[in-house]
Amino acid sequence: MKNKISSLQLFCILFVSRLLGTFTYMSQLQTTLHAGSRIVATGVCLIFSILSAIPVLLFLQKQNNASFLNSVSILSDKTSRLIGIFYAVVFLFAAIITITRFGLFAGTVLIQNTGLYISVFFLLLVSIYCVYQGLQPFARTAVIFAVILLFSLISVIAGTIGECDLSNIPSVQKNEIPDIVRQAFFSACRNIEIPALLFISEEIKGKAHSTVLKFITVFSIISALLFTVAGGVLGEFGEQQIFPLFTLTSVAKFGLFERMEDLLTGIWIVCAMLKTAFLLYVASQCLQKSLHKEKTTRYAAIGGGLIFAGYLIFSADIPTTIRLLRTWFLPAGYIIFAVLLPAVLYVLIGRKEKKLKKENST
Amino acid sequence: MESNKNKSVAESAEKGNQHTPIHKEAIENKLLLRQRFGNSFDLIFREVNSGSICYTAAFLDGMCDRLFLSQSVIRPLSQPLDCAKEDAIDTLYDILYEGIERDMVSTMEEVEQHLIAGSLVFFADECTKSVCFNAPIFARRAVSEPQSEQQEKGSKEGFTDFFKDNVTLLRRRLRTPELHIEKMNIGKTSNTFVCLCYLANRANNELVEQIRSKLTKADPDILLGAGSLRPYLERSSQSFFSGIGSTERPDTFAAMLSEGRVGLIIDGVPFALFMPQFFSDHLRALDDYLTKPYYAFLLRLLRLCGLLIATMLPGLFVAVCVYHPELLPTDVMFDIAVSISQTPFPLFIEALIIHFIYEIVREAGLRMPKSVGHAVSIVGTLVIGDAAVTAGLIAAPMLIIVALTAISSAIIPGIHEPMAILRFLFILTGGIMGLFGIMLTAVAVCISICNIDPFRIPYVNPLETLKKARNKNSL
Repeated sequence: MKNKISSLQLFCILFVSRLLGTFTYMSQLQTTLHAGSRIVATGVCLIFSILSAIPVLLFLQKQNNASFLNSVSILSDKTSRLIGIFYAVVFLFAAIITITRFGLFAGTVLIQNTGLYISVFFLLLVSIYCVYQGLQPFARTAVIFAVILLFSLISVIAGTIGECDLSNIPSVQKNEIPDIVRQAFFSACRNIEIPALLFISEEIKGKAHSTVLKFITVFSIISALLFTVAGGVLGEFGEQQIFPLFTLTSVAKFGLFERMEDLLTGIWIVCAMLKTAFLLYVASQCLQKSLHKEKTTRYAAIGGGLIFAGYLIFSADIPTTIRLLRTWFLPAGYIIFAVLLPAVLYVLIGRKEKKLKKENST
Repeated sequence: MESNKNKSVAESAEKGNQHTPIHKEAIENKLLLRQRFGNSFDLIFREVNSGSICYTAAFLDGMCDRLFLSQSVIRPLSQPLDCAKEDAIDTLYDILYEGIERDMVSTMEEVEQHLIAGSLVFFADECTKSVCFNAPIFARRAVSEPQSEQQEKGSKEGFTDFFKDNVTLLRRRLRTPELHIEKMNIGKTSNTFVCLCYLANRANNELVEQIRSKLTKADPDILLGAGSLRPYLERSSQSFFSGIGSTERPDTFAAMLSEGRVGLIIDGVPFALFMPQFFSDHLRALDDYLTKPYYAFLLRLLRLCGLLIATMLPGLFVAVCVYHPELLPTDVMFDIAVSISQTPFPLFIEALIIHFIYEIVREAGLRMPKSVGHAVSIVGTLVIGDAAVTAGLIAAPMLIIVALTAISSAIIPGIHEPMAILRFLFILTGGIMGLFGIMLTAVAVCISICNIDPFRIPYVNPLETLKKARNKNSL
């Protein structure tokens, strides 16, 4: 039996993976919220995140960290297989979106002159290598990079706090409440890591609920802090930037050294890679457990190829991709596979188990 | 009859790997040994008469202490022994017991092992046993200061090539009966003595059993160095780093055993192996425990920085100068740009060439005779260092980077090999993809390191736990 990952390792995986979304947050293109409203939206997002995580957490608690697909197979093997393949497609799609967003970020501000396809290709190669090594080394790496990430966040804040003026932050009243709630809901629907836990639950030591709740809380606090500092330092200027947090890092100064954004955002490359590897691992696990035909690593290679192909398609038409990110398509999809489907399965499996218990007792 | 004897001897010789019993006739045993050792000039036979009993003595010249044996064994035999022929060996065994180590053996394989170990072996007619008097003496190196691991305040004793001396050095430091040392023979041809060492009240029994089992299954042909055993002990040889450590210092070895690890002392090798080894072990030195904690912390931080500099600095330098010059302070950026513009090669190629030359110089320094050491130093310093820069072949900043890298890699000599490979890897990826490539390579290396779990204990233990209590000894 493989070694299980600890709650600290799980926390670090979730944290590193999710924080990428905050770093590559596209102010102009994703929302019409001003900085002050965004900070409030982060608080509302915390509540939505916890609520949307309830079905998954209930499932984890009920099954006591047993395999999700094994639990679903109680309905029928075919259902379990279909569910596995469906979620594999979902996670691969999420990985494509992650890579495309990151590719957009890297191509815009990080490495403008280099062919991005090559960089993405190598990023996927390293991700496949991570999947090949298994979840345990990946989790340990996440712990190490979470510490480095924390130091980089502290250095960004420390390097810019001198120029932070809270009066620069546009007032919350500049946006309507429905807009704030909508943005909070959209942000909560990007927690793809939480439904992914259903498929690695048997590799987690102990109970995952408290870790997930801690992760949601800590992530929300750090996001709010980053948006506050970004708003306080950049003010209205920040709202004209595509990637305001990147602009924040470019403003950070340490004595003689300035324009440290390349170094600080180097860590974000790691986050992108770890998130892609995590989603690829989960997708491979779904396929392997559903189809039982090949090894996980072979599915990882196939998945990596599909992600690259998906990236090429999406990156070929960036305006459509960005429109997609602003529509209800992604949040609706999240509600279906992360909230509704686990809730429905939870109820159905519960009923089936009661029925089987009755039959066995009679 | 002679042909029958030779035939039986030949048959016995062919069954070299089986248990060949000692023949009743001493002459047959003599012929068998001669057949086994071929025309080796150092295998010597002597007939020793004690009254009516004629003993055949065999020994390897140069391996046993002839003077001691002639005084302790041969001379007492000048007194005739009053015993039957069948009891000749038993009587010899019983009467000669003062001040000498002896063994009774019943197979020719054991006789061969004792001969090779420096024993004087006695045969007698009508006896199917043999007595071996152990008095090995051979030229060996005295205990000296370790060459590869220097300590400022620690012991100046290092391991030698003779395993018994090394065991003695260890026993002096761990004066407890809990220190168990199990001797075994490994190597089909070399039959090298290997001692499995552990503290019974500290080492995990499963770990000891695991290692013992692996050693039992190990079947190298010749075991001349510690490296020959690694493939049998390590689960996977694909990683850059090894879960098996080595040390030349008995005090370090004793410290590792006291932490519950298991060690191996190999005859003929002045290094002892210990396992499992963790990544944090490279950041520690025995001197740290002889200083104040705050200074020890500083030293460990220094070693960590040295490791990162030695591995990543050249690649980072290439990546920053080529892809991200805005990271450098303006004055420094201009100076570097001017220096680089005067060299014929791109910075990436220059970095590869100069580091390759550095590895050549380092390897030459290790292998060449000491008498020509000065010549190579001059070539390395003046020609490569000064003349190349003056001629404009290499930029001065690159030379500074190489020098920094070389000095930093000396902080942790134990992992020079993986650092050298990774250095080239980082230069390649930094030169091709800039910081993006550096970060991807760093992640891949990190994953590779995190995947190592020697003997089912993570290599990054206890750093990965982030628990203060467990990391007190690491940092």
